[in-house]
Formats: sequence, structure tokens, C-alpha cells
Amino acid sequence: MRSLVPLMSLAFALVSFPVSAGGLAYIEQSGGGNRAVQSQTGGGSAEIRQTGSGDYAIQTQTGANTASVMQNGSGNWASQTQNGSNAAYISQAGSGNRATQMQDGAANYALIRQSGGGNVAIAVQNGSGNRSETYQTGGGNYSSSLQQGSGNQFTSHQSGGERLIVDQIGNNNSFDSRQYDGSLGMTVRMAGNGLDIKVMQLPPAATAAPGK
Amino acid sequence: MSKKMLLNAVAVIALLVAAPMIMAGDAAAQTSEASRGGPGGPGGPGGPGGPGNGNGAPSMSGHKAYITESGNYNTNTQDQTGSKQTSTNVQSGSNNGATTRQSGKENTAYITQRGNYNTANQTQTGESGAAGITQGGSNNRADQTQGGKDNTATIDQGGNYNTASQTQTGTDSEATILQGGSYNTGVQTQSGSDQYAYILQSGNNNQGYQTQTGGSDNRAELTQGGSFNTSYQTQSGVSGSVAWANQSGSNNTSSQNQH
Repeated sequence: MRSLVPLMSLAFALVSFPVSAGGLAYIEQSGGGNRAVQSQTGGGSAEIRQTGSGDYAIQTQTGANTASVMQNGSGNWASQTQNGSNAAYISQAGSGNRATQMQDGAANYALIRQSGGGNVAIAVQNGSGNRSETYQTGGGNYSSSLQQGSGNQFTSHQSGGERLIVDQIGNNNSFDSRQYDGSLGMTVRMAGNGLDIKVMQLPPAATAAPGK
Repeated sequence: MSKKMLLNAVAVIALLVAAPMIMAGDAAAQTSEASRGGPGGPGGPGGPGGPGNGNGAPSMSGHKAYITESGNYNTNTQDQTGSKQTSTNVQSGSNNGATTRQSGKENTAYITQRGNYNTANQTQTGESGAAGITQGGSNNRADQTQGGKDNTATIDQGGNYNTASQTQTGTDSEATILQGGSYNTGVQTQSGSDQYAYILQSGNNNQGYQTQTGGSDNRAELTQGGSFNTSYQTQSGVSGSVAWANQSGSNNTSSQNQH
């Protein structure tokens, strides 16, 4: 069995995340038509790696957890549901992907990276002090974010024929977005006090590498 | 699974189902927004232009942002680079701030603020741009800056103690300030030729300032209805330029300087 240490280092090197004293669950699949489901209660880390088409991944965690899904191929679907103080990562390369992240609690972190056409990313966070980031490159992307609570942050970078819908309810929330090359634009709805919005829409020539 | 998470799951499923529909429906939504018209078309000599975009309906080839905020002490900054872009900001509440910066041709920017002590700032560089600010309430401030030709700027403020400022450099541009209420201040500064400036203030104790420099065939119009109002008009490069002030009421003061 291959060592998990390099994989976890790669997945979690970008940001800090809740340290878990719980278990580690890992699934690796290659080939088409695969499905993977992971469920953890208590602190833990779960990772799914899928290479191929028609893949499907679901992760459900309760506690202080970390969840990671990496998919390469077309027609993929990934869904993460977490309750507690968690970190969630989804990385999809290919076309026709969809990703959803749902987090309940405080100090959660959610990251979605998608490259390819026809992607859809949806992030929902309930609680305070949460942070969500979505990076999409390619045409025909769609991203939607809903945050309910205070002190939340949402960051979105998109390039291609993107569409962005953002809803934030609560105080001291912030939204930061960059869009390149797209004509579909964005709709942002925020309610609360002390809100901060920064939007940059730029031509394709200024396209920068997404993410950190 | 908690009740809240269950509700979230239902919401996400709904969003996923709706996503392709939303994406497919974007064209219709944009067409609807584009058909609203600009923030004020060219004004005739007797008054400001009505609703409608003097530059025609904006094309959908540029960026598009629609942002709404409700609450107090909120900030909003938008930067758009390119042509045929549309920026729409709606803020409800007090002590909010909205800033839009656009560069390129045929861009449109709208800011609507409801409440008091709000600030709105729009900057456009390029030609055939349209900028509009609407503020309802008192103690608000609106600033517009445009550089280029064939630009249109409109500020509409309802309430008292508001300040509106417009600066245009270039040619063939139009600036309009509408202020309903008292103790308001309107300031317009234009440099270039074939520029048009119009201020309409209804109420008392208002002040209007119009300055046109460095060109010819400019036109400055100022209308004040009410009492204790003051207007100042200054034009340099007066070849073919017209300064026109109309005050109805009592105890008003008007000053014109052409050189």
C-alpha cells in the first residue's frame, strides 16, 4: 500500500485546517463508473481520488474533520457535507463536473477548484467565521455560494463564460471576486452591516493563474 | 443528520437542479436588464434627459455585475476593464459606500442608494459611457468623473444636505444633476468642447456651480425653483457657448462670468 503522507501533504499544504485526532480514510479509484462514499463521526480525515469518467464521490463528516476529493476525468460529481469545525477540498479537472459543499458550524473552510468546461460549484455554509473559496477556469462554469452567519468570507475567481451567484446573510461578511473573459456576469445579494465587497472584472488578456 | 443540514441538502439539490436552468436563462435576464435603459439620456435645452440610454442598449459582450446590499456601514468596490460592460449596485441603509471604476468604451454604471450619509463614486475612462447615481435620503454625496467623448453622467438626489459633483473632460459629453430638496449643492466641471451641463434644483437654500473651460460651443443651464438659492456659472472659451440660469422664487442670487 502506498504511503498516504505525500498525498495528504499535497492536499492540505495550501491552508491551515483543523487538526484531527481521529482516523484516516482513503479511497483511490481509476476507471469509469466508479462510486465512493465515506462517512466519519468524530475527528478524522477522509480523502477520495478518482481518475476516469462517470465517477461519483460523497463524503459526510461530523466533528473536526478534513475532507478531500480529487477527480480527473469527465462526468464527475463530488459532494461533501460537514458538521463542526471542518475543512473541505474538492479538485476537479475535466468537463461536466459538479461539486457541492455544505458546512455547518464555525471556522469552516471550503475550497473548490475546477478546470474544464461545464462545471458547477455550489458552497453552503451556516455559522460564523467561515471561509469559502472557489476557483474555476474554462468555459461555461457556474458557481453559487450561500453563507449565513457573521464574519464569513467568500472568494471566487473565474475565467471563461462564467456565472456567479452569491448570497450572504449576516454582519461583517466579505466577498471578493475576479472574473476574466466572461459575459454572463454575477449577481450578489448581501444583507447585514459592515459588509465588504470587492469585484474585479477583467479582459482575458489579464487572466492570472487561479488560486493561491 | 441535523435538521439544518437536511434543509441545506434540500437547498443544494434545488440549486443543482436549477443551475442549468439559471445558466440557460441568463440571456433572458440580461436582455431584461439591458432594456432598462441608461441612467439618463441627452437632455434637451429646456431640461434634463429622461430615462434611457443615449448610447443605445448596451451589448452583452462585456462584463456584467449586479450587486445588492442591505444594511449599514457597507462598502462596495467594482473595477471593470473592457468594453460594453454593465455595473449595477443597489444599497439600502445608511453610511454605505459604493465605488465603480470602468475603463473602455460603451460602459454603463448605475448606483442606487437608499438612506442617509451614503457615498457613491463612479469613474469612467473611455468614450460613449453612461453613469447614473440615484440617492434617496439626506446627507449623501455623489461623485462622477468621466474622461473621453460622448459620455453621459446623471445624478439624481432626493432629500436635503446632499452634494453632487461631476467632472468631465473631453468632448460631446453631458452632465445632469437633479436635486429635490433643500440645502443641496451641485457642482459641475467640464473641460473641452461641445459639452452640456445641466442642474435642476427644486427647494430652498441650494447652491449650483457650473464651470466650463478650455473649449467652445459649450452650454451650461441651471434651473432653481424656490428661495434663497445661489447659482454660479463660469465659462472660458466662450465662442459659441451659452450660459443660462433660471431662478423662480425670492431672495435668489445668480452669477455668470464669461471670458
